[in-house]
Amino acid sequence: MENTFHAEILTPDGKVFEGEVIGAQVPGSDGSFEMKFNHAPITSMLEIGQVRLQTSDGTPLYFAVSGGFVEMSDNRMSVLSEACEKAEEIDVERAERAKERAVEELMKRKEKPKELQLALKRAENRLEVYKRNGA
Amino acid sequence: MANLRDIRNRISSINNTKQITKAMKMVAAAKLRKAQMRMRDNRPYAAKIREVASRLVSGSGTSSPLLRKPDEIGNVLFLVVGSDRGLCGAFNNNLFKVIEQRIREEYASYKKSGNLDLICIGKKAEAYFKKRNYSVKESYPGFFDNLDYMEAVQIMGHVIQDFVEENYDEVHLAYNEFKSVISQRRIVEKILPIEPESLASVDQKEKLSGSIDYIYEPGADEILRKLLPRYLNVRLWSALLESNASEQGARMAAMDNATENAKELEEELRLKYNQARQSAITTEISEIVSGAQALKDA
Repeated sequence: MENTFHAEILTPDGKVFEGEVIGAQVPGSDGSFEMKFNHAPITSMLEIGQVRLQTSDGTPLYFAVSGGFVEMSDNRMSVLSEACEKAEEIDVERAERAKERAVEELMKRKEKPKELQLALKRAENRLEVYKRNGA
Repeated sequence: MANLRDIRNRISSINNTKQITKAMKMVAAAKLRKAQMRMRDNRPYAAKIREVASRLVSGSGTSSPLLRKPDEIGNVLFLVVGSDRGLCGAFNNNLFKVIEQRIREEYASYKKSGNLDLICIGKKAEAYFKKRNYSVKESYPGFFDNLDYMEAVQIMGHVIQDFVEENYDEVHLAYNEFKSVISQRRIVEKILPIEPESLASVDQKEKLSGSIDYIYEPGADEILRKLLPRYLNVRLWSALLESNASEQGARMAAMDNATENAKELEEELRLKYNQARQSAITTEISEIVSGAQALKDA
């Protein structure tokens, strides 16, 4: 039996996940990395990307995360994100609409505002995570 | 003697009102449950963000434009969270009075010289302060119809930008805190510049974890720069959720009161109605009796 640690994913709209996991792979700002039992205390920024949790029975869970932070200390890990969904629960239609809207706006405008580019990235990330692991 | 038909009409109109207030109370109760759930859902996230921010701020002598302490306060901004709808007792007025008092006491000169702006969330706040000649810079009527986190982020985004560009040197947030279904606490607090002391909590566990050496990726400064805006976002969001729940609670109490009053009034009127009815019958009988008597005598 592998050692497990406590993991939770928190958003302003509630807990997306809470439970014991063997490993957690997160999209850190300096590149994606994986945490296991007894990882050194760390606080890292997260990029828009995918979080993968290896639950104690071995099944992987995937989440689309729109940036945020991860903190781990004392075998308790928290992912803090303003928006995060489980892969199966991603609203594909909404993400597709958001993507279209962002692309359209970006085409129209000369200057490319950062917010729009981020919106596009978030929508693409959702679609990507859903395609790979949610469908 | 009161007219029987008039009383009957009044009773039926009070009955109608009673049914409406009763229905509104039920609706408020249902909305309150939902509002409380959202408040509960937000709490772990808010607490954790605060914890991390507190550790970073107190930890390594980091700096951020949001911690900037201006030497002189030039412009002041108040963020007022009211409600969109009325019929919730003194929910809005109580809060607005506290805000006005605070402004009178500490910022009267700013108001006079036009260095005090307001951002109003909710229709009632806008109506109240515009009528009293405050400079309402922005307002968000109908905000509570669709309470969405990203909307709160947008409002806070503007505020943060204004603060960083030194358009404002102080930002206050005023809202009703949810204490219980029937009672609210009116809060006016400074949210910008962020005061490191306000982040620290008395929780012993946090103090312990503060002494551990953390790895920071990319760096503590960088993280803090991204974290503090999020901390403010969630602070506004928490206030909005608190206010939303308080509003429903206040409405529930107000409507409950109204229903009780209607019941009392109805009882009173029914008594009057019965008295009037009885005296009408008595008069009629005595008329018949005296009529019969007159016939017999004849």
